[in-house]
Amino acid sequence: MSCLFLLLINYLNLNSMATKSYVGHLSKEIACKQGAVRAVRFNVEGEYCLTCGSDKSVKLWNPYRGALLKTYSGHGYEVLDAQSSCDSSHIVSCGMDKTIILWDVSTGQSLRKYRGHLGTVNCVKFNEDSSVAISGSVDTSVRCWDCRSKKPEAFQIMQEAKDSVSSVQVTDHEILTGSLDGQIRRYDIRNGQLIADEMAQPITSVWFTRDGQGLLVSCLDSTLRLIDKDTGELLQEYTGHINTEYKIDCCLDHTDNHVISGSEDGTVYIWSLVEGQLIARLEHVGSKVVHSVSPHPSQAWILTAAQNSIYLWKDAPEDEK
Amino acid sequence: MDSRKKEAESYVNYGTPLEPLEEDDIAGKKPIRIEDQEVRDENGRRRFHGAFTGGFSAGYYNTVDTKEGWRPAEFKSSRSDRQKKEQKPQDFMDEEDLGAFGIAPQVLRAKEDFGEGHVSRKRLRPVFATAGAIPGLPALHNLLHPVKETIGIKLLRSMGWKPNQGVGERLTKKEKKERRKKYEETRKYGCDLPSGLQQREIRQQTSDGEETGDESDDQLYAPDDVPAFVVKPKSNLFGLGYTGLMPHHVTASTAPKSGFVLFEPTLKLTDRKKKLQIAGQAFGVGAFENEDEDIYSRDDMSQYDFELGGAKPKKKNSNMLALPCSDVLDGFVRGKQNEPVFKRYPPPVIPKDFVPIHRSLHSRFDVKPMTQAELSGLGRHDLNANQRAAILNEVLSMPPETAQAPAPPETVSTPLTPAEVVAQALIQIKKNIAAQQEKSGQIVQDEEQKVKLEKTTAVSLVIDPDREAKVAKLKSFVESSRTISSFQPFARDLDKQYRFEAFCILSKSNRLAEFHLLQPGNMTAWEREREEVEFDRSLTLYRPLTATMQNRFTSGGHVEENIQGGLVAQIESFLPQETPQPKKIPVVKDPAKQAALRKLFGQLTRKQIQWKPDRLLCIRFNVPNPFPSAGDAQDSAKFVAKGTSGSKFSIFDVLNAVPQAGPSFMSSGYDNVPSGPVQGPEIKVQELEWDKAERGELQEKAEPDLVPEVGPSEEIKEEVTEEVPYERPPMDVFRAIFADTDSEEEEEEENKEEEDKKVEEAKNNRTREQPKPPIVEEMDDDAYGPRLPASGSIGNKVAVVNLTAIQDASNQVEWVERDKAKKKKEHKKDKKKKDKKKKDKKNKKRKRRHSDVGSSSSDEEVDDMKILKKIVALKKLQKL
Repeated sequence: MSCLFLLLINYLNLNSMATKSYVGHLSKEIACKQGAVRAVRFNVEGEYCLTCGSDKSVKLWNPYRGALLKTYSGHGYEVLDAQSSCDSSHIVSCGMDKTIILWDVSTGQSLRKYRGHLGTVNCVKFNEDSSVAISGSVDTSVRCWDCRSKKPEAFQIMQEAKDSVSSVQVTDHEILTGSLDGQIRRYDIRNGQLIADEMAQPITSVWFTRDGQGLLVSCLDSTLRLIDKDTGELLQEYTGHINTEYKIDCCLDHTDNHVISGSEDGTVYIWSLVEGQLIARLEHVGSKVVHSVSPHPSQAWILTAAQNSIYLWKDAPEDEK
Repeated sequence: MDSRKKEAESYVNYGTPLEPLEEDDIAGKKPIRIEDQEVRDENGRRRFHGAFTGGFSAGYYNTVDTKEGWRPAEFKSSRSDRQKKEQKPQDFMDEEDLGAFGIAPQVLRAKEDFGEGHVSRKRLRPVFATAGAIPGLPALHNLLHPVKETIGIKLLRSMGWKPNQGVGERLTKKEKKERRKKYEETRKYGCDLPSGLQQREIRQQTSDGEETGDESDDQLYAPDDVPAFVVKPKSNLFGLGYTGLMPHHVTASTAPKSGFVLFEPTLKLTDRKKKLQIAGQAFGVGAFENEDEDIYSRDDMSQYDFELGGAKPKKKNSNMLALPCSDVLDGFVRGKQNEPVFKRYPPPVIPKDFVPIHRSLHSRFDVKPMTQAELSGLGRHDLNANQRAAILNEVLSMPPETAQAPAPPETVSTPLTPAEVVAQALIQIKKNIAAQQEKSGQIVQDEEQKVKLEKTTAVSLVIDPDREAKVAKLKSFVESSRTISSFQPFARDLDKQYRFEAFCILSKSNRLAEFHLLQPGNMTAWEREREEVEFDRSLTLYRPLTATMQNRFTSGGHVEENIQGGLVAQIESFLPQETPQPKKIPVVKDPAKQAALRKLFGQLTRKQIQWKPDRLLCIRFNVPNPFPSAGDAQDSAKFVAKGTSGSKFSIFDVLNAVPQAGPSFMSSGYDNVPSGPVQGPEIKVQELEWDKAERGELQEKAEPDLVPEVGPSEEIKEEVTEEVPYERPPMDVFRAIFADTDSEEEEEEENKEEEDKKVEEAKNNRTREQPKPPIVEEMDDDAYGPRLPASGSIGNKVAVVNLTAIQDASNQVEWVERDKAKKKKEHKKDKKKKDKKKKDKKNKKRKRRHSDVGSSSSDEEVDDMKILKKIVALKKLQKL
């Protein structure tokens, strides 16, 4: 409980600093022309973004200009997730062809192709220094692939999940996985422990708070839950959006003040983290499901993906800046 | 100059420039002068010498002789055996000279038949010149000739005929001309000659004409060759004379005879001045030509006729219908003969009392007993639909009375709407479900009573007289919990199958002791035992697959409830009249899940288990390995592969895997779910430890508890720094393997010394200490390089140095040793560097070493070692 208290104080302080209300203005809408956009991800610096298309391609964009920089094609089926490395020199992507591909950003060539998953690979993440790619798959396994060596097999396989692994997050010493069996599993490498928290609902997305004290969990009962990492207690619940069918991303913004989640009614919902109140809804005209959300690492900007376009939302209208 | 330079710069160079010639090269590349050229034979010896160096050398020592010597052809003739053979000049000639003197060369050469210029017609197939894209006779046709001639041509030849001549009497010029004219006239009725042939003929004609100029009529000529009339076989299914759009239409040299021109021929073969010229657009438009509208000849379908015989005549009047033959199509005639009518025979009538079962006839004297199937009436025709439904345990089956009763008349009169049918079916389903539930409820009650009874009469069971009652109870219990399983190993013997199922149920509920009650009384004890063993075995055989499958799949909660509730709930939406039932909330058995549903997150929903990250993962995350002493990455990889699915999945993994914590195959699914996620890893840890214990490493893992805290952390550091994958092993290793023998000698010397010491120390220790436990010796096998020579003794030596710390030496020793080992390594490295520097010294040393063993440098080393050991031991003491 003390931890919770500290957390609250922390957030209140932050809130007082950033009092600006979070109202999104649609800054850009880009039609990606790659079928349905399965995921959109900012790079580390937030200058560029990656989109994963259902036409088997990954595209690199400058979302502010709406310029397509590069297309990476080589997947055998729909691409479901991607992430760029810490130095933005590599991209790792995964998809329904059961493979994970490591790309060279500048040449567009695939450097490695990791095969081993027995089913669709839902999500993939780099570790902090981008030397390991960690992927979660429908085959209920989480696999760690070495990007430094040319080893073609996963050097570690975590088989604890009882159902499809929908989401993976990585910090400097932890791997957090959310699975459709309703458990979030935190693999603590430093302590050699696996901490599993039962959520009783299929989990679609997990997110670490920036201070590493809380876990944001998105469940299929249309609820986001903020869990205390150390005790496993529930800190806050966020409801209002709809998430009963799809894998919908949730995230926190760069200040950790706001909880952001897509929804199945074509809107992005933004709550305040501490109060749990709904602050804003970002309407995506003409689209049914907003399934992918990516926050800018240092600005109050969000990238969202719905149907076959991506949307860039900023905290203030363009002309003010 | 400047302008020139600029000019030079403005040039663009293509290709790679040649290397600039150097003066020396030019000189060197002069052709060798004749006097410098040398002739050498195959053995590389010089054949011709100048006058001063031996002169000309050729042949066999400058002779025409050979090594064998020259010998003319042998000729022997005696009085008794006179040589009849005539001598020929060839006998006295060399073979290669035969040709020079007009004697036919004795070389293998093709006969005339096979040589060039020979034309044979045997395989000269009829050639249709117009078939190809290139006009004229096919080019290859003139090049490729068959090998043999027909007998007819041979005969003709022998009669004086020559190729390209006609057959027949010789004619005068006049006659010949007449005949040709005649032929041309007749030819019009034949088939068209290919254009190439035509041209050839024309040429012949003209040449003949030239010849005739200066020759009289008396001279006779061979008649013209008449081209053979070739019948082209029809190989397609088009109409007669149909040719389709052939390419020669495009290159047709003559205008078609029909009224219109289909399209302009793009390629024209003009025969101007006896030279073929090609004109047209097929080769593209030249640079100075400007007609590019119709490069490729286009044609419309409108240019084609789709009917034979020109434009179709207008339809005849409808008066035609009044004609008597109006039902006959134009151009057809009504047949005069009627179609033959085949007589049809109906199938035989089956007698009413016929039974479609074949029973072989028996003589009445050997009466066979009826078979089991016959008696029980299990034949296909002995059962009605309801009985079969009962066997199949169909839920949807109608109750027998309704099924057997004739269908109610109102349903027949008013056909039901689909919704009503569904509604009726639903009602039936509900009734069935209700009945089943009632039944099961009764059974539960029965069971409870039974359990009570059993508890009370547990003691008296053994000597219970009323066995029958118990058997009946047991049977009812078995019946209640019996489910139709797909696994029926004893389906042949129904009783046995029943007993097997009972066995399964009892073994599941741990009441196996009562199984013997179900076995028939006429079985002997041995038979009973055997049957039990058999059942047990088949049970274990059957279990693994289901168990592993259950391991692999997550149960969807309450299967039965879900299905029934789900079905009813789904179909209920069809029914307007039904009152909505309260929604069934699936009962969650997992306490964690229950807690999570009640939002009691925290300790209840949390589970912590040990998890062993891969060594490489720790390295990549830059995190100290939490299990530094545990097996390396390969072990974990092996372990993963050992599990139900490794990196390479195969169905055989599943089949061979031994079920973990074996849930029995009869379980309904959700019993073992909660323990699932936790069980796996726990088992893993156990297995790992077990593995290690096997390798004698378990003690090592336990060790750090006893040892000062500094130890493990140091070790971790060392591991992290040392264990970089794919690193080339240090040079020391290679040196240790491949270096000269002198280093080995050194080691040997060290060994000897240390052994000596060991003997001494052993003597000392025997008096003071108990003997070393063997584990410590095994410890040295760890991953710290090659085994140290007599390490235990060194440890003891340290212990001797630190007289106070003898008691817990056994614990310390390892750590001391390890440090030592490291330092010794380092020391060795240093030593080797030194060695390199003092190579010349080393040589001297070597000589010395041969004379006296165990002196100089090795002594110094040992001294160093001792000092090091002392320092380390002192450090340890301080830390303690």
